[in-house]
Amino acid sequence: MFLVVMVIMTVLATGCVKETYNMNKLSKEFQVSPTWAISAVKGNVLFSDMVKENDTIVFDQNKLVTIIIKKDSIVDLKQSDFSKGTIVKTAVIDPGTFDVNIEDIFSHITGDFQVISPVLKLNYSNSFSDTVKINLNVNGKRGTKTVNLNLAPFKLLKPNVPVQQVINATYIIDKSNSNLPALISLPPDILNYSGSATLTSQTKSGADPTDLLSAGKMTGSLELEIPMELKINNLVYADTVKNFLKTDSASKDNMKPEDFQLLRVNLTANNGFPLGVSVQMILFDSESQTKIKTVDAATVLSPAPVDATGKANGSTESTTTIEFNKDFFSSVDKADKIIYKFTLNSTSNGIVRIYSDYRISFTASLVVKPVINLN
Amino acid sequence: MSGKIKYLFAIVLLVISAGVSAQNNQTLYFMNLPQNHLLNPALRPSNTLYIGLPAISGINLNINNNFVNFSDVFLKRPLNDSVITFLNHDYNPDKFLAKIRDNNFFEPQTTIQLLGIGFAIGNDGYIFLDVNDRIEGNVVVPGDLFRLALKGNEQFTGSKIDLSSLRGSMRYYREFGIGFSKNITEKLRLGIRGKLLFGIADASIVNHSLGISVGNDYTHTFDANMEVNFSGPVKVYTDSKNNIDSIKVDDNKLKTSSGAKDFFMGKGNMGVGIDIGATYDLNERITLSASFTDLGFIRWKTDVTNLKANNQFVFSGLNVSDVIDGSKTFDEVGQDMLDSLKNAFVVTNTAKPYTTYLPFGFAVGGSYNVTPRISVGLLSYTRIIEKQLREALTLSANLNIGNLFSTSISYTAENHRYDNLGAGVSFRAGVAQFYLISDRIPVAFNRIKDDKLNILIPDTWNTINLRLGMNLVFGNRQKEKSDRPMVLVE
Repeated sequence: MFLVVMVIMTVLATGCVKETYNMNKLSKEFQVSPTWAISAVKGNVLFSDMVKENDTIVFDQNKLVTIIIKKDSIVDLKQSDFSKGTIVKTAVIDPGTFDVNIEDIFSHITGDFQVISPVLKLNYSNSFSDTVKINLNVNGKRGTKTVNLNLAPFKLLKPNVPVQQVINATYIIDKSNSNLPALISLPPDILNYSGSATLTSQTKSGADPTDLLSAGKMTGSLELEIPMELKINNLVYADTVKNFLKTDSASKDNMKPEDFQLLRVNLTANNGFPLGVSVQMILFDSESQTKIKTVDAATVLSPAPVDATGKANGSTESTTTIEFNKDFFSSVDKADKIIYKFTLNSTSNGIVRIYSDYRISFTASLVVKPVINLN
Repeated sequence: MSGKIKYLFAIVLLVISAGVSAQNNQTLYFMNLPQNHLLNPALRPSNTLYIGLPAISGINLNINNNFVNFSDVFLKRPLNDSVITFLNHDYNPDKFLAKIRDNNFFEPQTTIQLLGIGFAIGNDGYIFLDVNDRIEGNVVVPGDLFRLALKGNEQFTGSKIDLSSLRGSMRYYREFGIGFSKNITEKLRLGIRGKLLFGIADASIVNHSLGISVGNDYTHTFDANMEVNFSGPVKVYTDSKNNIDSIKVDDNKLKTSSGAKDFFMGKGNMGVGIDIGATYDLNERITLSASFTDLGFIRWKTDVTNLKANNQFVFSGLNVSDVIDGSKTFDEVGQDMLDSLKNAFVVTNTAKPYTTYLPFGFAVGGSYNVTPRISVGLLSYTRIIEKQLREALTLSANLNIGNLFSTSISYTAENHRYDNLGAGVSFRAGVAQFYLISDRIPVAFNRIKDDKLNILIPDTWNTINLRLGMNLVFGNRQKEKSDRPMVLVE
């Protein structure tokens, strides 16, 4: 019996109420904040995977990428279009526009951008046996800036009558005879063209003036070729979008940006392009025109090295960490816009060429630390 | 959290807040009770006959965990009276994780004695017959799983989240035992108990390997080689690709009396087991003893479902090359990845018989009779349960006054816990012998109260261990006194 007493005594002596838990005051906050890291995306792509050959983009025999923009029927002259009565007769090339269809992109671009070897081709068909001289005026406009082609008048080839009735030929306009590189490097939203054609008769003097003009027809089209031979120095592509991170304050169901303590993007890229890219993300308040927060990723892509011709002859690996911290997320609701800025530079800001077999491989991993409320 | 859920949560945590390993009623071992032959078949009570009536002669409940207590889960803020949980943002989860072990087990066990008979035969023989229903579970949760849930996977970069120790089993079986013990020599007594086992239901996880390797680039490699076996009224439905669609309890069989009878008789899942024990009187005061218990197995044959997965899957990010070249959308790439994951872990569904082994126990003990009625005992009990070794060392002081009264207090050190104070008491009123034993009684309490509740719960009680019941006992074996002379006279 004494052992039982001992047990009871022991329990009573040592047993005590250590704490009183008032469950009426139990905090309803249950949360975990794990740090999750995962490789998110990866890719290994050729330029030719990203951009397919089509009517506008072609890869030449050396795989150099060239943009081709065509404008048909800019010239359609018949005998009746020319003035009569003199040996030298003139016809007007109706003014027109040549939309390069890249306004959406180029409207976001600032900085130095130089296309080295663009070519504008006048493809024509001429059946006039007399000499036709073309005075083609082309200018490019972007905003208030205008750049003229400054092309000197030039003569068309004429058919070798009577053996040849029509001649099809191309007149090349490039940096050797015009201001084309500067015009294309503007870069223009639109090209305007106009001009005239002058026909000089070979008929003997004293003949009926109406007979002085040889019968014929001349049609022409323009073709702009922009080989991707570039020189880029801090070309900035900026775009402003609505702040999609901003949440409806009334919504309680979804996770909000402030529920994230950290979001880190680790980007590793092996870049075979001779172009470097850096990115900025700016939380912007359009009402006060202030930048609330800026996240910088100075070297998302480092440019590949190039040889003397500007062709990439290797690749460059770069690792970038873009971190969005608690401070950033807590500022999200103060901004109504997000501005993205992508800054491009060619290797050493020099001339580089873009080939279709350039390759880039990349991996992006995410580290995220959310606060997950369990209550 | 609603009030009911809150208390349910608290109760569940309280139940799992119990956790020393290898609980086997060590306190019972040195008591003069018929049930101690379950721990060592060479042990016998002092009475000549005992009868255990269905359900009331013995109920044994063990619920153990080895990792958390109530006070690890609920905490008081130091500056006010409010209560927070370990999931509160004011609490550092590292403190909670410090309590977590590499292998965290939760082990519920219940044994209900349906019938027990024991009687003396001859001078020193004793025969036991027992029928017991046993429900035994064992869940082992790897510590890495807790760390993963609370801290995420970044901490595992360059290493492996090792889940290979993940285990889980729950089985219900009936045990028919017949035992016999006898003095082989004047000092040595041997006992043996054979058991015929009838499995009623089982669910068990066989984990050969399971883990997630996290590369320095956060590439994840999942590997799994595991099986889940069921025997019981469970049906697994799979889709056309053999992926598990749903798992449902099929209780149609239980709705008919013959089906229910077949199920609860467990005739289709037979097994055998054996307990072997010995005691040796080293001298008048010291007795040594040892036993092997639960050496056996059950072969599960009826209503069997085996789910097996043995594959590896590497996730190194969504490959967006196809998105960039325009051949696929991002959604399609994501779906491809999910399909690959599903296909990598296709679960095969078979119905092959399988075997489970009983949790094997090994006890070595010794007692020293301070007086004829008072003894002190030392018992080492080792248990091997699904490749895990659990060890307990118990020191006890015992008072046995025939079969009239028996009591014991014990101290058990096990599984890195050294605060297990146990006690047991039995007494006889006429032919009725009542007993109540616990290997661990709480010594410190916490009061939990709210508008409707005001209860005390043990502070560091991570074991619920209780054995209680009533036997009908008849006769009292008087140990023969040695009448040998001090000096032998020829």
